Amino acid sequence: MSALTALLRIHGLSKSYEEAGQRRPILRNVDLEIQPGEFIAVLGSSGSGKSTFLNLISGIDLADSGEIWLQGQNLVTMNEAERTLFRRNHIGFVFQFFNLLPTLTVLENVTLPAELRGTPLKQAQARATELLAQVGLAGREGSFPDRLSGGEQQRVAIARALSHDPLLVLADEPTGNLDEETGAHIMALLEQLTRQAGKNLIMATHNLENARLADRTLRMHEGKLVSEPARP
Amino acid sequence: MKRTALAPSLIKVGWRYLLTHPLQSLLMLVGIALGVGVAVSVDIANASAAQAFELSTEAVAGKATHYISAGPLGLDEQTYVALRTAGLELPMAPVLSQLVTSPQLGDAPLQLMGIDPFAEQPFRSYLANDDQDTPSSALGAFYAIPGAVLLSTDMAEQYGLSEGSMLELNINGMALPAMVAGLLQPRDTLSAQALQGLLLADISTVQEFSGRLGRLERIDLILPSANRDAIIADLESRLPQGAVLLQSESRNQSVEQMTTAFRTNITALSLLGLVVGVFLIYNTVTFSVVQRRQSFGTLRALGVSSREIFAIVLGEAMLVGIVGSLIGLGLGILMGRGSVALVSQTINDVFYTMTVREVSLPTQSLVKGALLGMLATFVAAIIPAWEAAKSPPRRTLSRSQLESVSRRTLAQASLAGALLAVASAVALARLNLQLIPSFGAMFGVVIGAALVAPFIMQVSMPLLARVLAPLIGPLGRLAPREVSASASRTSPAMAALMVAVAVTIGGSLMVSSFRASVVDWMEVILRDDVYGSVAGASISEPQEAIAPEALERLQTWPGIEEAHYLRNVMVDSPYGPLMLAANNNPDDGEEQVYFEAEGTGTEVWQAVQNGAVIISEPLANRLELGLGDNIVLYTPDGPRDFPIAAIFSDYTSSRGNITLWLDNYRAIWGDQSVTAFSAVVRAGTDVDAMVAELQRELSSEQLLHIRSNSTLRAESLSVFDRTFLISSALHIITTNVAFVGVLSAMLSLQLEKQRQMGILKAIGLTVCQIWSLTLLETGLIGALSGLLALPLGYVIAQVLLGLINRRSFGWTLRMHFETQPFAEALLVAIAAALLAGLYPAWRASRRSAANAMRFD
Amino acid sequence: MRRVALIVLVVLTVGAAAYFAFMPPARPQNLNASVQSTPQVIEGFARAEGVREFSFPQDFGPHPEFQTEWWYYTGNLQTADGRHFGYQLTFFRRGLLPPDQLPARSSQWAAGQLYMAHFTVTDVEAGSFYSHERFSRGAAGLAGAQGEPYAVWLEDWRAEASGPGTFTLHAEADGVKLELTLQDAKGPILQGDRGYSRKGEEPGNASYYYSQTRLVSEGSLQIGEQHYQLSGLSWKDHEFSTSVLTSEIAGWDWFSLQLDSGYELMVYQLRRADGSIAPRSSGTLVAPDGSTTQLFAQDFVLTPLSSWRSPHSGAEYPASWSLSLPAHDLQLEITPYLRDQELNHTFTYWEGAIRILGSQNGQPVAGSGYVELTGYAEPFNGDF
Repeated sequence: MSALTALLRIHGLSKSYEEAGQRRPILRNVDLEIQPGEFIAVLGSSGSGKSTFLNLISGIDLADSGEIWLQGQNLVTMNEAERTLFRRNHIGFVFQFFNLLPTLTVLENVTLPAELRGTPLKQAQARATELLAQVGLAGREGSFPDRLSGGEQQRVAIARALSHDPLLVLADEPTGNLDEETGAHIMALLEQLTRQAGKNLIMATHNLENARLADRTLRMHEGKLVSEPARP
Repeated sequence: MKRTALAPSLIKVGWRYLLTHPLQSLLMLVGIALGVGVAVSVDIANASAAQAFELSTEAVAGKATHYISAGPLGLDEQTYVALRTAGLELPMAPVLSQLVTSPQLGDAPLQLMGIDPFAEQPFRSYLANDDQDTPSSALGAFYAIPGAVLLSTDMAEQYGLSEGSMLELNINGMALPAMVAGLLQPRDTLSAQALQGLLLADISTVQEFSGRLGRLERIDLILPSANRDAIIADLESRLPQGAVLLQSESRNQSVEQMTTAFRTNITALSLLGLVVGVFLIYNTVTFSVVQRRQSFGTLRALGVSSREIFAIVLGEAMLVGIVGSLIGLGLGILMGRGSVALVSQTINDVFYTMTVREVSLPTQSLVKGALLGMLATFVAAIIPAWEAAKSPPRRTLSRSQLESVSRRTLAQASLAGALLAVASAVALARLNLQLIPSFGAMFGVVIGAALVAPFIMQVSMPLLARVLAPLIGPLGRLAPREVSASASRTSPAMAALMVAVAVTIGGSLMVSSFRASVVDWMEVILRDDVYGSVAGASISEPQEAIAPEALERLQTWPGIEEAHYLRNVMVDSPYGPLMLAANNNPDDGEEQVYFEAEGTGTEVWQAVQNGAVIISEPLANRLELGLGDNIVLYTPDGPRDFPIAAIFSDYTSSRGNITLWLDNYRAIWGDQSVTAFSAVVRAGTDVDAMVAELQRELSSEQLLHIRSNSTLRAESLSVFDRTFLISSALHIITTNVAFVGVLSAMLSLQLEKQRQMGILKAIGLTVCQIWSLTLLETGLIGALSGLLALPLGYVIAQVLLGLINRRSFGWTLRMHFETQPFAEALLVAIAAALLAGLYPAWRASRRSAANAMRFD
Repeated sequence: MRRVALIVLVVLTVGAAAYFAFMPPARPQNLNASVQSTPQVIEGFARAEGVREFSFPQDFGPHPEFQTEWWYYTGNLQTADGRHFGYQLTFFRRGLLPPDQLPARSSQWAAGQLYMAHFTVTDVEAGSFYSHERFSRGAAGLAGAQGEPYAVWLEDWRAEASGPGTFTLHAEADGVKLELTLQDAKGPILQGDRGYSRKGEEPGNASYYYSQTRLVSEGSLQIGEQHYQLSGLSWKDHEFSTSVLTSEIAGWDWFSLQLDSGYELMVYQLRRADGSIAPRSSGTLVAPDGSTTQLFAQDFVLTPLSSWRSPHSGAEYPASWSLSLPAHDLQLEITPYLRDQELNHTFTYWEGAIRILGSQNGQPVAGSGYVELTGYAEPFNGDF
């Protein structure tokens, strides 16, 4: 029943890397279904394959085998150009190191994904301004990223991740580069905004506090994705 | 859902980068602008020279297909009258021209062309004019009054002359009175340019002024293409002994070919400047890509396609390329003025007297220049743009990964470069390449070497580290490592510097070898003490006759032991007009440098006195004649074979000349004129005093220019130096482009390393050490580039001397190895590199450690 | 008066200018510009100011003390089977400076005279009119004239004496070649008052003018590959002067008529700009025995009967006339053999062979001749 309504369906996903002539499996036969609006946290230690998992879902990287179904499309069978387009249209990103474009202003950084998707500039700007207000950066639209603190930069990144109305927001250690307090703030903002927009959020983290906000917590262990019992 | 237009914000990613890195953008701009500027200015100069040549030709030859001429004494005017009254109904026009100068017309050489207006119409129609007539009152004077000349309204305006103005014309050292009888209103600008440097007069005036009464220089003809052979046969049957019917093109073709070679020559040199510019752009764009790897990774993650990334990088480079090209055009026009002057000077000195000087700016040169600039930018930016497009959509990418990629491409490029260089070198050495392929191969060697250079740097830096470390401590180890570790940035800079320095070495070595050859050669050929010719005549090939009275006085002048005469004159031949030099110096056989000869100089000269000739090397090359062949000349008795007794070296003209015994010349051509003399002075005479006395006493009616041996040498060498001014100018510009290249590369490199410098500072490097490290790094690059440029420069000089000079001038030159050009070039390379390191070092030393580290 | 006096004046200078100007034939504005800048009379040339003594053959030759001179041959010729041709061969001389003002020159090319020549052939049956123009300097043997032996030439176009009272003509251009021998039946006929021909009221507005009115002609004509043997009559005019016309004259109509009755008639009328006829219009009637009667304006009536518009210049010319000399009981109708005999060179005028029918003393008379019409293509409104 849930298979029909699932937003994202991952089946038998495997990925390994060649390293010094040896194959090192990262993901082994991962299955996952995510319902619309669901917030998933993926826990795991460094090198457990969390990032690879996100890369596969976003189409940045290509799986060796398996299926990733989103919007009736299987990412694994797409070519590079199709995956780029898919990403442009359906995925929002929040990175550990913010990765704002230094040559663009805050507003332009946020507008960019919507523009890429083909939204008319005026409309994209309006949406971006609104999002920036929501992350508490009203009035900072014209600033360049290097004028912002880490927390502020990440807020811009959250706004950017949502500006083009993606189906799925992927966050990779969004608080990994922030102090505890700011991190908590950002996390709350991320959760609140994605839920408010009705978006799915998949977050890779090793921070249990962050994972607490998720509807479901999974743990990446030896290339397998296992459910983490819900915490009290 | 392909999109052709970039999202506005994506475009901003590109040009914001340019704006936020103004220094780099500026350097890129300067590189392309200089490259384009040099190419354009040289092209303008070339196009102008070609156009001026065409115009001069058109002005003089007009639409003639054939002409009749008859050797040095000219054609009997009755030949024309007989043909004209024979009812042949062929367009024919008599011409008698004379080079003149006039103090009222800027003292530059002008063509005084004697014509018959009634015969002219079918020939030189550039004079046609639909709107305005020449006031006919002028015409009575034109036919009747001696010295009546017509000139263009432009010329009149330029020199403030009008109808009725009096002029003084200097012809053969004599000042003759003339009058502006009328002004010619040219039909269009082209005609106006053709008329520049041209004075028209009636045949009668030119006959009287040049002392060639009863003579014509030639009769121009337009022969119909139908039935032409029969018409030629008919005409030839009507010609007197000694007159020949020749094709008009042959008169200009050989000169055309030679100047084409010369122009190809300097075009190639100017393109080397652009090659250096290409390296510069490549370097800057590569740096900008490297610096933005992370941004590109992010963009890719956000769903920007590789095509779009490619477009961003190429787009911003092209933007700079276009702006740079436009600036380059302006620069080219400015420099063009100078180079037009230099190029026409060379052409005047070496090839022919160009009376047309100012020509319009050729739009073609500008279009070509702009396209060239954009093409160069495109070529230079396409590899980095492609690399940027390949950026994987990752969030971070470590530098070491980046450099390893670069190192792999480096190895591939080096291999390709080595193959290219070797193949080109083999082609140069083994195949008898023509001029343009020779240049192609030379470019192949240069580019190949440029590609190999970074590899050599990679190999040599660790070795250097091992040598330097014990000498100057940790910095000695650190600096070479830094250089090789950032190969992606240092390679293009190094290649650019090496090419530029090599070109400089090649050029100056070529010129200095050439100059040394000329000096040695003059040592042999200039043995007499006093030399004289008509004032204003060409220094090497005077064709203006000296008054017999002056010669008589010279013969009996006290203190003169022996006087020699020379007659320089153009004669017709089946190969076109050739320069004859007939002299009566019995020892001339000893006073030649033989390229190829049968027997000793004395034996050769014996043969010459018996009727043989010796020909100069450029002529032998051009006509493909060798020892033992015969050369055919048209004499008053018809075509005649002259055995070639020797081929001699001669650097006076690349057209070449034929030397023969004066008595033989006089017997065959019946011409007693003498155009230059030289004399041996009795031992113990004060030569300078005698020269001054001769100058005063012999120049009464006719102004002569009498020089001592040393003055003549000095004058000859100054002509030589003038000839190569354009080449030197090009080398200097190329070096400048290279300097900018090094500066930009160093700057990029050092700016990028600020963080690292911060760390180094943090761990205790003093300001002094920071300076040392930076300058050591740039100095190493400079020194290595300079060292690698030495052999390459030698190869370029060898190619220029051995192949290209031979092809374009016909001169064989020996390499005179001198250390100076090498030492200079090495110094320039190191100095440029050190200079380029100053600003980055200053910045690095100023920044606080914390500040530098935070910058990310 | 004879002929293209004005043309000569203008054309020789303009012709010289033509090299520099290469203007298309007869562009009025160019012409006028040139004419205006032409000095009318260069001081120092002799002028026709009274009767002079003619002496032949010397006077067949040139008179360089006068500025302008021309030798004019026209004629009507037939083949044995009656095919009719007309021809014109004219030499004009223009003095650049009076002889005593010419500087001494050592070059043979130095010239005090310029020459122009026109050569036309009218092929009546084919309806073709061939015309050519040439210029040259009167120096270096390229063009010139001499009295003893008589010759006038421009390059290979040539008229010369070949014996007492006999002359040869030679001209060839573009495939049309004419070679004629002329026998003068009557000897030189002095026009006007013993050769002094007045054209205006002012002194000096006159020329010296004689003709050879009946030159029995024989020779050959070649047009392309076609050869014709011809015989017929030619007429020669020779006139020299310095500035003859007053400024009011716009052009003239000139007639040379050779009648089968043995008479010849020359008349001309000078037209003013308003179309009226100037009073100095005149002529000469030559009797079979060579005696002459001078005619004045009141002695003849010339009436145009039709007109023709030139497709080349657009000018409208009279195309046939009636001419009557009431006192001599002579009525003639004059019709061109070919309408289009317009010369379109440096200067545009009509000069063509004409047919004559009429009556003389009640007897039918016929003949041929030449007519010259100037001032129709370009008005000469007083520029002279």
